[in-house]
Amino acid sequence: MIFFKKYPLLFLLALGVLVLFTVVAFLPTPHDYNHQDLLKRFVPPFFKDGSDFLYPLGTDHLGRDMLSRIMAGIKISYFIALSGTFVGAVIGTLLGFTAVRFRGIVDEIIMGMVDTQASLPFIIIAIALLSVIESSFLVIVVLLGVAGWEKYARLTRGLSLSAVTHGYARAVSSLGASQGRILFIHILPNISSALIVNMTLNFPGTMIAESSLSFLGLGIQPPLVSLGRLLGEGRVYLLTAWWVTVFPGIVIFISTLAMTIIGDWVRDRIGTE
Amino acid sequence: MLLPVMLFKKIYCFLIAHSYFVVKILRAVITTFIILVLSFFMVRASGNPAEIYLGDNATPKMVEYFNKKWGLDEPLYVQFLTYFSSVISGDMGDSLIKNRPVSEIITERIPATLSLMVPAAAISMFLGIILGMIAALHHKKITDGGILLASIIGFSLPNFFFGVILIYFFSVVLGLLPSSGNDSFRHYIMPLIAIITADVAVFTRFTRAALIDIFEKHYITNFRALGIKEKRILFLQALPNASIALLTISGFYIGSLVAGAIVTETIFSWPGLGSLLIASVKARDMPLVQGLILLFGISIVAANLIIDFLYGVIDPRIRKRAS
Repeated sequence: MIFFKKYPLLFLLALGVLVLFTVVAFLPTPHDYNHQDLLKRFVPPFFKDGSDFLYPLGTDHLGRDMLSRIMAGIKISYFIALSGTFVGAVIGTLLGFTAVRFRGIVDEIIMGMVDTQASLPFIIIAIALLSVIESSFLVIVVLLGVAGWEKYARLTRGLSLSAVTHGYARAVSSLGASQGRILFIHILPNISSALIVNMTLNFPGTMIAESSLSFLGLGIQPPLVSLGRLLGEGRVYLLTAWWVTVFPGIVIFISTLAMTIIGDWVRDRIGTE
Repeated sequence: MLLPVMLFKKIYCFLIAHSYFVVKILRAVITTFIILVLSFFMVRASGNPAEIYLGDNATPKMVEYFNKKWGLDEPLYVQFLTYFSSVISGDMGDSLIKNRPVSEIITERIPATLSLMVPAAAISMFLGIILGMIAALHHKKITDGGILLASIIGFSLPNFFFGVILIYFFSVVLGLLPSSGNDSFRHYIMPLIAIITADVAVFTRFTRAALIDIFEKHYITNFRALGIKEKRILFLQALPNASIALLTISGFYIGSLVAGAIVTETIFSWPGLGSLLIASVKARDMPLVQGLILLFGISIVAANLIIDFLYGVIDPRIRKRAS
């Protein structure tokens, strides 16, 4: 019972689902996810009449296997969410440290950038840029990273400033350590838990942002697939084949739900310590 | 001789005394300027306008004439100044595809977006605050757990997926509601539900968290010890104190409302600004994209400025801290 008190059932369930999705996504796909078979268009999923056991989740308008496409989509969506979050954390932390290291006008400029970024929604910035730059995998990762950097910058700056002005950082500084050394060797490990909490809390948002963009047709481009793009593509065929839209949607929903639950748990656990 | 000095001193004192508001206005002006610069270069970066407009078969003479006509042979800063002054006077050029002024196309679409967003925001805020209050009053009980779980689900349910599910059930299976357009009251039901589900969740979570935080404060314990009823404490003490946190959320919310508008309008083919933006990005109609980005950006900056002002009015401590 103590185990469940420490790790609530909901959290274990959420973690289990995410691990399951990831493992399934990395299994070999039953078909090539881009293989078209026009004789097998709109095969329904296994529990409906006329289904084909080779295509357990049915096929789309070009006869492509939905299970394989969803597996490939999970891989790309998760990877983008992970790397987007990571890029944002790195950029934000570095800029936060820069603001603390130099203070004065540099600090003002960086905080001004933080304010500007925070007041403009990600999707506006993304659409403005994607109307100019051709969308690609790398562009999306960088965009999502840039979308979240300001939270990390604000967090890093705030926590580092309070560490620099009083406490252990002053002790190390009086021993002759350089500013950069204090920030990276001494302060970074101490504020890392707050940064990690922020990362887990941001993770579902990053995933939804990517799928929204792909849903609108501005994100991941063919031949790559992401869960949002599958949903956006399938929407047109809602009348004839709901499964093409609904299955990727359910995977997105369950993933973001699980990530939110994990994020809340991590915040409650680490935040109170 | 003395008069200008006194006047200057008066203005200076006024600015110092209201430095919180002055700094906020300056920030907003700078942000607006950044948005203007970005939108100017956005169109320049998308390619040579003459090439896009005239096509591959244009002779050098045609290109020269085109550049002269639109002032593209001027130095960049002159072009920017021209752009700047024309935007200020409300002229944002002509749409490349519709061949009509951008400002005209945008103005036509504003009512559709506002008539969807304003009720959605109002209902979400109202319901979210009520649910957050109920949850906070029943903290650590089953009601609280239920509301919290529901809000986590609402928050995780992407509105593009939820919208599609709504269309499937109410339009495809049941045939009750129309799936696109905004001609009648019935058209509003599904888009409103799709936006509100996600947004109520955000407000509920924040109201709950803010109230629970305040309920643990000493002054609340003091009121409880005095035997004041819980409801009275909630409405007269806790809620006014939570309004600061709610204001912060409203600031972030305006951004997510715009983002939600873009996605929801696309799903329900709503003839508003969001679906227009996506359509014009896909059609590479750069003047229209530029105009819309400007409009969205500047209205968000303006809304945030209003919220910053409200901060200063509600909580004078914030004003002092900033100055």
